[in-house]
Amino acid sequence: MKTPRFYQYLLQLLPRHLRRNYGEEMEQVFAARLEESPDARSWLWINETASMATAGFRARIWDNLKLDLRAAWRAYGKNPAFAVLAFLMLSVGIGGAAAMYSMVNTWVFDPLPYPDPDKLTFLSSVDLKRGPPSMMTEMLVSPGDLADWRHDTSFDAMSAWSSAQFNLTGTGGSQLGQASLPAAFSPDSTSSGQSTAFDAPERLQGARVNANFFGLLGVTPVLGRDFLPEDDQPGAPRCVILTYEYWQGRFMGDPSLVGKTIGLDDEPAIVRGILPQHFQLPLLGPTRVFTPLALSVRDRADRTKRSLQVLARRRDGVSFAQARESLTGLGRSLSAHYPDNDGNVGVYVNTLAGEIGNHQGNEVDLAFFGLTIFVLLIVCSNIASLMLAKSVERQKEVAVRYALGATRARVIRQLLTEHSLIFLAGAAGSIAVAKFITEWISNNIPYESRAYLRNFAYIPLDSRGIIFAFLVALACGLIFGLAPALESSKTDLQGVLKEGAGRGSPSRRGRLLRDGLVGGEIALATVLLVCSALLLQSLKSIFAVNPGFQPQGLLSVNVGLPPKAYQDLDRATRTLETIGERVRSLAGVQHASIVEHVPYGNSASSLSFWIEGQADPLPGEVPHSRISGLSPGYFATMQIPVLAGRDFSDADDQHAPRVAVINDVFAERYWPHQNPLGRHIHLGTRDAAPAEVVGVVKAVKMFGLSDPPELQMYVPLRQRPVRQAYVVVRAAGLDAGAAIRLGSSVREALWSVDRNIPVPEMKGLPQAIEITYTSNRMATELLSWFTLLALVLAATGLYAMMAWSVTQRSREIGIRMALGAASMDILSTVLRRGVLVTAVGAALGLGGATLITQSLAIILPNVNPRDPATFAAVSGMLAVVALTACYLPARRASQMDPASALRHD
Amino acid sequence: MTPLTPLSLQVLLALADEDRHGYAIIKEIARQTPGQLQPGTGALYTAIQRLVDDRLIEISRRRPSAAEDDSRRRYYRLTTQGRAALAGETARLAELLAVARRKKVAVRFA
Repeated sequence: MKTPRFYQYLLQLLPRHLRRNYGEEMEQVFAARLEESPDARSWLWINETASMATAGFRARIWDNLKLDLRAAWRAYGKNPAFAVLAFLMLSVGIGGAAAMYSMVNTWVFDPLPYPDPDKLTFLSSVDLKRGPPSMMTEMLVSPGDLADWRHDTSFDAMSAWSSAQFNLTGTGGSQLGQASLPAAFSPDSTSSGQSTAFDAPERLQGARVNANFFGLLGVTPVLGRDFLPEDDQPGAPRCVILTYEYWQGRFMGDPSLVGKTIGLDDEPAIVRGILPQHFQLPLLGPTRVFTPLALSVRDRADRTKRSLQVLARRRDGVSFAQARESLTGLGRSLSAHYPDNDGNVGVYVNTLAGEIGNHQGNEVDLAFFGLTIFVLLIVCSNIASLMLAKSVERQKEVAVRYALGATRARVIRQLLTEHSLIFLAGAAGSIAVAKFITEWISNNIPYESRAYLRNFAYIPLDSRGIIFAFLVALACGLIFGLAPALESSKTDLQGVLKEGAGRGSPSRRGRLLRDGLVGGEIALATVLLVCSALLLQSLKSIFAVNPGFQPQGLLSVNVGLPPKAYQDLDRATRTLETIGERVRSLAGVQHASIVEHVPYGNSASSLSFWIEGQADPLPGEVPHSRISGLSPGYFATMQIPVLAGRDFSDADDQHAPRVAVINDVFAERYWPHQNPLGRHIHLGTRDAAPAEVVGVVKAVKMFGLSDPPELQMYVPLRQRPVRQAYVVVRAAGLDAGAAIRLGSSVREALWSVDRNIPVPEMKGLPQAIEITYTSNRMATELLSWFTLLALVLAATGLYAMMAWSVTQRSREIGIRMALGAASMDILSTVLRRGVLVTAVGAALGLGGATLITQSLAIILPNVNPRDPATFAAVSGMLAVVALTACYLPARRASQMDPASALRHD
Repeated sequence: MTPLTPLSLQVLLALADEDRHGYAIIKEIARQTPGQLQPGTGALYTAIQRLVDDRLIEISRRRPSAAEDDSRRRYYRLTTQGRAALAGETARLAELLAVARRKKVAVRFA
């Protein structure tokens, strides 16, 4: 009988010889079985398919693979130096790529750790005067606008939050005993005389949120309950939800804390719940305590004060684009309705993941991933060129295999197995390297910065990273191992064997291939070097920016006076001034003063203003300036240059005429080429008593070194009394630790004024600036290492190629010398090829670099992506390295003794 | 020489009493090991080829009576080496069985 055609297909799985010898017979046997048990046909077919597949796999792949692996093992055993070198290079190359792959997975591509994260949306107002809606033009949202946004049916829910600092005191006479306070920034904080009493006040970063905040995110407290809508009403009893980590650290994980009352800014607050472990919203930073916003009915309709950030969940079936369209439209109609407050205000809609990505710098992470792929490609081409070099040495072995009846496919397969094996070994080694790199990255991010990065900056090296390493290794092994395998397998059998112990000369194509690989390697290295050099310059330029003050030796201490005890703001000012005096009298302190907002303190205020004698702006276009109250001597403490006029004095108090100091940006904008001193400004409202400009100072950077220049204004603390301020202290010495070492005595001085002032956060300003740039600093370090690696690899690749080609041509060189060629001729002949390969590679690389740096422009602030100096420097450096790598073997060739060269074989 | 796989052993055993063709071998194996081992043709002929290559079995020159004969069928028979290998393997299994018995491992025969 005739078996179905499918059986014929199955037979194709088997190796040919088995099919030829037994195929027909197998068909009969199977037909007989089918005939005999018609009921079990489907079982028979399944069994047969499995049987054929297994037999085919074993015969075709596994058995050969075992042989090939054994052969590969022997081959590497004969040449352990190459094996070890390749293994190390691949471990580093693949490890770097796998580490960066894990990093971008964790920080960029993984979904946010909330249910249905794609629906989470970030909403913000934007200042259209500064540009189109983007992260750069974001503004806080006014409660009035938010109330209107809530009517947009594209969203199921919206929730607002506002970051705040709180003074938190314990449960009061708690049985919990001595819990130690979390270590403050200062290393000596525990050795100071501070009380470790459980109830010691502590200043914490927190957030006021709408009651639906956690529900919208999809997060449920592990202990206690979520906020309820009634908690978010004005006049409702104060309540808090704490993070798991803070609850563990300060309250030792006491489960009975829920329902108890703790002190929040001197008011009792009930602990409602504890968030799950590892809860994090990177936009909030290291927030430890949450309390309802509880806006009053009047505040809810307010459009003048912008204080909120907004999170929303899109309705099912509404796409992101639709939601953005809808809300942007709503924003336009709000602008039309409320020109005074929303005149130039637009709406910015972003996915939550996108917004987090913008803040943590996803582009830089992705650029890094790309650069490590370049390093990996350089490693691979390096190894491929080494393999090619070896392929000629192996011609005899290959010839013997052919002579013994191996087919070309068989030989190629064996060589490919051998090449892939080293790549896979490299992948295994790469896991250790990747682990090291990912841990190094996480460990080098300061504690304060981690909360702003997804997954608290921790990068797990999970199965995906490992699979990635192996797949990449396999792909590279096949791609980069194929060329040398093809080259080796193309052997002129007779020619090689006839030469006896001699070596074959490389084929023309083989030489071209190798030149191509080395040239490609140089091109890749050029691209990498150019990109790295530009990135490094850009990072350096950020650090080189003058922040406008001298951060070295400065300590800033955030002081929040308890609002209840300091309801009288004038008393608060007097207390702050007393603190300033006490601190100033400490040993080791050069200057000290009080300021409402310190640079890098993550806080700022803005105020609208009207210039006297200049036309009033249209409603909705009233300008704003940063404003900060401060005590006399602040500019001296910070070493902010006073360009004109004077500093404040103690005479500028609440009874004296209003005065203000502006920055040079302000002066330039409103009184270009005129003297601003003696001019008057109305602050806050058009009718406010005008303040006279008495001084001009240099602008400072308040948040980051790359901030654009902004309007800044200072007024005397006595004319702008506050409860929350910073004591800034200039240490007498400039060395790095001088300011930090003052920490405990500053704290004692504080407590000598009022024992109830919360434990302040101590921060050296250099460190504060440093924290803002942690990722950049680490990027710089990593990049430097990778670039160095790439350069070394490209140089060794070139050197290996040159050295090898000299060895190959020793016979030819010997003959030439014997025929009277001068050693200079030999030198130039040998050098010529290396120089040519380098020149072509570098030219291609420079061309590629111009294309790539263009797309890197967004992450390269302050740098021309086609900076000619960088391109020239990189080319020059490569030329020197490449020529050295070529010169050494070439010189050896030119100094060869012709007799020994000819005897070489 | 590589050790006998379970299927190879079964093939040798099936050929121990008489020469058989492929289909008969499958049926004999099914009879020897009720329900446990039902090799597909792919596995069977891989094993047969291996055994032929190792000279443990060979294609028989003798044909059965003309009535039963199908000219396309090939009959396999044990070689002397094959018989020795089978004996060796059986002895090894018997020893194993004896050890199991000494250690009072419950051994039951169907």
